[in-house]
Amino acid sequence: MTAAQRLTKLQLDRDALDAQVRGLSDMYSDLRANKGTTLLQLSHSSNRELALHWRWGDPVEFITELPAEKQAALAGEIALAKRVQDITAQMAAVQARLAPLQADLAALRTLVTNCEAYLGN
Amino acid sequence: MATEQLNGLRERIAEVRAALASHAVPAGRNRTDAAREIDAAIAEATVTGRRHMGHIVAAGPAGQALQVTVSRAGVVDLLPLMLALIGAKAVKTALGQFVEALPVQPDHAEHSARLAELEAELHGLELEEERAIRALEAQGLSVIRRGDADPAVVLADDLSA
Repeated sequence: MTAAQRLTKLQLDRDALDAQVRGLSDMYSDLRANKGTTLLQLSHSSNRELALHWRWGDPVEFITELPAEKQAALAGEIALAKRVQDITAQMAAVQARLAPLQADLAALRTLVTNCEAYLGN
Repeated sequence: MATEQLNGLRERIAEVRAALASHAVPAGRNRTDAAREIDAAIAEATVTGRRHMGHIVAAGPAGQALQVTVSRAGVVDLLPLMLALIGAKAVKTALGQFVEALPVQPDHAEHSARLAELEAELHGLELEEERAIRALEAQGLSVIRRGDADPAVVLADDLSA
Protein backbone atom coordinates (compact mmCIF):
# COMPACT_ATOMS: atom_id res chain seq x y z
CA MET A 1 0.00 0.00 0.00
CA THR A 2 1.42 3.42 -0.92
CA ALA A 3 1.70 6.33 1.50
CA ALA A 4 -1.17 8.12 -0.27
CA GLN A 5 -3.39 5.02 0.06
CA ARG A 6 -2.53 4.75 3.75
CA LEU A 7 -3.43 8.41 4.23
CA THR A 8 -6.75 7.89 2.43
CA LYS A 9 -7.53 4.97 4.74
CA LEU A 10 -6.75 7.12 7.80
CA GLN A 11 -8.99 9.89 6.45
CA LEU A 12 -11.82 7.40 5.91
CA ASP A 13 -11.31 5.99 9.44
CA ARG A 14 -11.45 9.53 10.80
CA ASP A 15 -14.65 10.32 8.91
CA ALA A 16 -16.28 7.06 10.08
CA LEU A 17 -15.29 7.76 13.69
CA ASP A 18 -16.49 11.33 13.35
CA ALA A 19 -19.89 10.09 12.16
CA GLN A 20 -20.04 7.61 15.05
CA VAL A 21 -19.23 10.34 17.58
CA ARG A 22 -21.80 12.69 16.03
CA GLY A 23 -24.42 9.92 16.16
CA LEU A 24 -23.77 9.30 19.85
CA SER A 25 -23.69 13.03 20.60
CA ASP A 26 -27.07 13.42 18.90
CA MET A 27 -28.40 10.45 20.88
CA TYR A 28 -27.15 12.07 24.11
CA SER A 29 -28.79 15.39 23.17
CA ASP A 30 -32.10 13.63 22.42
CA LEU A 31 -32.00 11.82 25.76
CA ARG A 32 -31.24 15.06 27.60
CA ALA A 33 -34.15 16.80 25.87
CA ASN A 34 -36.39 13.83 26.65
CA LYS A 35 -35.35 13.94 30.30
CA GLY A 36 -36.07 17.67 30.42
CA THR A 37 -39.52 17.21 28.95
CA THR A 38 -40.34 14.39 31.39
CA LEU A 39 -39.14 16.42 34.36
CA LEU A 40 -41.27 19.32 33.14
CA GLN A 41 -44.30 17.03 32.93
CA LEU A 42 -43.62 15.95 36.50
CA SER A 43 -43.29 19.52 37.66
CA HIS A 44 -46.72 20.27 36.14
CA SER A 45 -48.32 17.46 38.09
CA SER A 46 -51.56 18.41 39.80
CA ASN A 47 -50.46 16.37 42.80
CA ARG A 48 -50.19 18.73 45.75
CA GLU A 49 -47.34 16.82 47.40
CA LEU A 50 -45.14 17.07 44.35
CA ALA A 51 -46.09 20.66 43.58
CA LEU A 52 -45.28 21.78 47.10
CA HIS A 53 -42.27 19.73 48.09
CA TRP A 54 -40.42 18.28 45.12
CA ARG A 55 -37.42 20.45 44.20
CA TRP A 56 -36.18 18.81 40.97
CA GLY A 57 -34.03 16.21 42.74
CA ASP A 58 -34.36 12.52 41.90
CA PRO A 59 -38.15 12.14 41.57
CA VAL A 60 -38.10 8.39 42.32
CA GLU A 61 -36.20 9.01 45.51
CA PHE A 62 -38.66 11.75 46.47
CA ILE A 63 -41.72 9.63 45.80
CA THR A 64 -40.46 6.45 47.49
CA GLU A 65 -39.72 8.42 50.64
CA LEU A 66 -43.36 9.51 50.86
CA PRO A 67 -45.79 7.60 53.10
CA ALA A 68 -47.54 4.70 51.30
CA GLU A 69 -50.95 6.42 51.24
CA LYS A 70 -49.49 9.44 49.45
CA GLN A 71 -47.62 7.22 46.99
CA ALA A 72 -50.90 5.56 46.03
CA ALA A 73 -52.12 8.84 44.56
CA LEU A 74 -49.00 9.20 42.45
CA ALA A 75 -49.20 6.26 40.03
CA GLY A 76 -48.81 8.44 36.92
CA GLU A 77 -46.01 10.46 38.48
CA ILE A 78 -44.18 7.30 39.54
CA ALA A 79 -44.21 6.10 35.94
CA LEU A 80 -42.78 9.44 34.80
CA ALA A 81 -40.21 9.42 37.58
CA LYS A 82 -39.04 5.93 36.62
CA ARG A 83 -38.79 7.13 33.05
CA VAL A 84 -36.50 9.96 34.21
CA GLN A 85 -34.37 7.42 36.06
CA ASP A 86 -34.24 5.19 33.00
CA ILE A 87 -33.25 8.09 30.73
CA THR A 88 -30.54 9.15 33.21
CA ALA A 89 -29.08 5.64 33.11
CA GLN A 90 -29.18 5.66 29.30
CA MET A 91 -27.43 9.04 29.25
CA ALA A 92 -24.66 7.70 31.49
CA ALA A 93 -24.25 4.65 29.22
CA VAL A 94 -24.03 6.82 26.10
CA GLN A 95 -21.57 9.16 27.79
CA ALA A 96 -19.39 6.19 28.80
CA ARG A 97 -19.24 5.10 25.14
CA LEU A 98 -18.81 8.64 23.86
CA ALA A 99 -15.87 9.81 26.01
CA PRO A 100 -13.24 7.29 24.76
CA LEU A 101 -14.43 7.69 21.16
CA GLN A 102 -14.00 11.46 21.41
CA ALA A 103 -10.44 10.93 22.65
CA ASP A 104 -9.76 8.50 19.78
CA LEU A 105 -11.20 10.97 17.28
CA ALA A 106 -9.02 13.80 18.60
CA ALA A 107 -5.92 11.58 18.22
CA LEU A 108 -6.91 10.47 14.73
CA ARG A 109 -7.63 14.03 13.61
CA THR A 110 -4.18 15.16 14.80
CA LEU A 111 -2.51 12.21 13.10
CA VAL A 112 -4.31 12.80 9.80
CA THR A 113 -3.38 16.50 9.88
CA ASN A 114 0.28 15.58 10.52
CA CYS A 115 0.25 12.96 7.77
CA GLU A 116 -1.34 15.40 5.31
CA ALA A 117 1.38 17.94 6.14
CA TYR A 118 4.04 15.23 5.78
CA LEU A 119 2.83 14.31 2.30
CA GLY A 120 2.33 17.97 1.42
CA ASN A 121 -1.41 17.66 0.88
CA MET B 1 -1.31 -10.77 23.48
CA ALA B 2 -0.70 -8.37 20.57
CA THR B 3 -2.74 -5.71 22.39
CA GLU B 4 -0.64 -6.16 25.54
CA GLN B 5 2.49 -5.87 23.44
CA LEU B 6 1.12 -2.67 21.88
CA ASN B 7 0.29 -1.20 25.29
CA GLY B 8 3.79 -2.04 26.53
CA LEU B 9 5.33 -0.37 23.49
CA ARG B 10 3.20 2.72 24.00
CA GLU B 11 4.25 2.98 27.64
CA ARG B 12 7.91 2.79 26.62
CA ILE B 13 7.32 5.35 23.83
CA ALA B 14 5.82 7.75 26.38
CA GLU B 15 8.87 7.27 28.63
CA VAL B 16 11.32 7.88 25.79
CA ARG B 17 9.39 10.94 24.61
CA ALA B 18 9.48 12.32 28.16
CA ALA B 19 13.23 11.67 28.34
CA LEU B 20 13.67 13.42 24.99
CA ALA B 21 11.63 16.39 26.18
CA SER B 22 13.83 16.71 29.26
CA HIS B 23 16.93 16.61 27.04
CA ALA B 24 15.53 19.03 24.48
CA VAL B 25 16.99 22.06 26.22
CA PRO B 26 20.68 22.19 25.30
CA ALA B 27 22.97 21.45 28.21
CA GLY B 28 24.06 24.63 29.94
CA ARG B 29 27.48 25.46 31.30
CA ASN B 30 29.19 22.47 32.73
CA ARG B 31 32.36 21.76 34.65
CA THR B 32 34.17 20.15 31.75
CA ASP B 33 33.59 23.12 29.42
CA ALA B 34 34.56 25.68 32.08
CA ALA B 35 37.73 23.78 33.07
CA ARG B 36 38.68 23.40 29.40
CA GLU B 37 38.27 27.16 28.83
CA ILE B 38 40.37 27.99 31.90
CA ASP B 39 43.16 25.62 30.76
CA ALA B 40 43.15 27.17 27.29
CA ALA B 41 43.22 30.74 28.66
CA ILE B 42 46.04 29.88 31.10
CA ALA B 43 48.09 28.24 28.35
CA GLU B 44 47.76 31.28 26.11
CA ALA B 45 48.27 33.87 28.84
CA THR B 46 51.32 32.08 30.22
CA VAL B 47 53.11 32.63 26.91
CA THR B 48 51.96 36.27 26.71
CA GLY B 49 52.88 36.99 30.34
CA ARG B 50 56.35 35.49 30.10
CA ARG B 51 57.09 37.36 26.89
CA HIS B 52 55.81 40.66 28.33
CA MET B 53 57.64 40.39 31.65
CA GLY B 54 60.82 39.18 29.98
CA HIS B 55 60.70 42.10 27.58
CA ILE B 56 60.14 44.74 30.30
CA VAL B 57 62.78 43.34 32.64
CA ALA B 58 65.27 43.06 29.79
CA ALA B 59 64.52 46.50 28.33
CA GLY B 60 64.03 48.25 31.71
CA PRO B 61 63.14 49.90 33.80
CA ALA B 62 62.40 46.60 35.54
CA GLY B 63 60.44 48.42 38.22
CA GLN B 64 57.67 49.02 35.68
CA ALA B 65 57.13 45.30 35.21
CA LEU B 66 53.80 45.47 37.04
CA GLN B 67 52.48 48.47 35.18
CA VAL B 68 49.42 47.69 33.14
CA THR B 69 48.56 49.47 29.93
CA VAL B 70 44.81 49.98 29.57
CA SER B 71 43.54 49.14 26.10
CA ARG B 72 41.28 51.49 24.15
CA ALA B 73 38.38 49.27 25.03
CA GLY B 74 39.16 49.90 28.70
CA VAL B 75 39.86 46.25 29.36
CA VAL B 76 42.68 45.15 31.64
CA ASP B 77 43.57 41.47 31.36
CA LEU B 78 45.32 40.55 34.58
CA LEU B 79 45.70 36.88 33.74
CA PRO B 80 49.17 37.11 32.07
CA LEU B 81 50.41 39.21 34.99
CA MET B 82 48.98 36.87 37.62
CA LEU B 83 50.47 33.86 35.87
CA ALA B 84 53.87 35.49 35.66
CA LEU B 85 53.74 36.38 39.35
CA ILE B 86 52.16 33.39 41.08
CA GLY B 87 52.23 30.66 38.45
CA ALA B 88 49.66 28.62 36.59
CA LYS B 89 49.03 26.15 39.43
CA ALA B 90 47.94 28.84 41.90
CA VAL B 91 45.71 30.57 39.32
CA LYS B 92 44.13 27.29 38.31
CA THR B 93 43.45 26.38 41.97
CA ALA B 94 41.89 29.79 42.61
CA LEU B 95 39.61 29.57 39.57
CA GLY B 96 38.93 25.87 40.17
CA GLN B 97 36.72 26.59 43.19
CA PHE B 98 34.27 28.38 40.88
CA VAL B 99 34.31 25.49 38.45
CA GLU B 100 33.45 23.12 41.30
CA ALA B 101 30.42 25.27 42.09
CA LEU B 102 28.91 24.54 38.65
CA PRO B 103 26.28 21.79 38.44
CA VAL B 104 27.44 18.46 37.13
CA GLN B 105 26.03 18.08 33.63
CA PRO B 106 27.03 15.94 30.72
CA ASP B 107 29.15 17.80 28.24
CA HIS B 108 27.76 18.77 24.85
CA ALA B 109 29.15 15.71 23.11
CA GLU B 110 27.61 13.38 25.72
CA HIS B 111 24.36 15.34 25.55
CA SER B 112 24.18 15.06 21.76
CA ALA B 113 25.04 11.37 21.92
CA ARG B 114 22.27 10.74 24.48
CA LEU B 115 19.77 12.67 22.33
CA ALA B 116 20.71 10.63 19.26
CA GLU B 117 20.43 7.43 21.31
CA LEU B 118 16.93 8.36 22.54
CA GLU B 119 15.79 9.38 19.05
CA ALA B 120 17.03 6.09 17.63
CA GLU B 121 15.24 4.16 20.38
CA LEU B 122 12.03 6.11 19.76
CA HIS B 123 12.22 5.42 16.02
CA GLY B 124 12.74 1.71 16.67
CA LEU B 125 9.81 1.61 19.10
CA GLU B 126 7.54 3.45 16.66
CA LEU B 127 8.41 0.98 13.91
CA GLU B 128 7.63 -1.90 16.25
CA GLU B 129 4.37 -0.22 17.31
CA GLU B 130 3.26 0.25 13.70
CA ARG B 131 4.10 -3.39 12.91
CA ALA B 132 1.96 -4.46 15.90
CA ILE B 133 -0.92 -2.22 14.76
CA ARG B 134 -0.81 -3.60 11.22
CA ALA B 135 -0.76 -7.16 12.58
CA LEU B 136 -3.90 -6.40 14.63
CA GLU B 137 -5.55 -4.74 11.62
CA ALA B 138 -4.75 -7.82 9.54
CA GLN B 139 -6.78 -9.77 12.10
CA GLY B 140 -9.71 -7.44 11.43
CA LEU B 141 -9.26 -5.41 14.63
CA SER B 142 -9.54 -1.65 14.64
CA VAL B 143 -6.70 0.17 16.38
CA ILE B 144 -6.46 3.91 16.86
CA ARG B 145 -2.96 5.25 16.31
CA ARG B 146 -1.45 7.85 18.59
CA GLY B 147 -2.02 11.45 17.48
CA ASP B 148 1.69 12.16 17.86
CA ALA B 149 2.84 9.10 15.93
CA ASP B 150 5.55 9.77 13.36
CA PRO B 151 3.83 10.20 9.94
CA ALA B 152 6.91 8.80 8.21
CA VAL B 153 6.41 5.54 10.09
CA VAL B 154 2.60 5.46 9.86
CA LEU B 155 2.68 6.00 6.09
CA ALA B 156 5.70 3.78 5.41
CA ASP B 157 5.31 0.83 3.09
CA ASP B 158 8.40 -0.91 4.39
CA LEU B 159 8.80 -1.10 8.18
CA SER B 160 11.99 -3.11 8.15
CA ALA B 161 14.26 -0.15 9.04
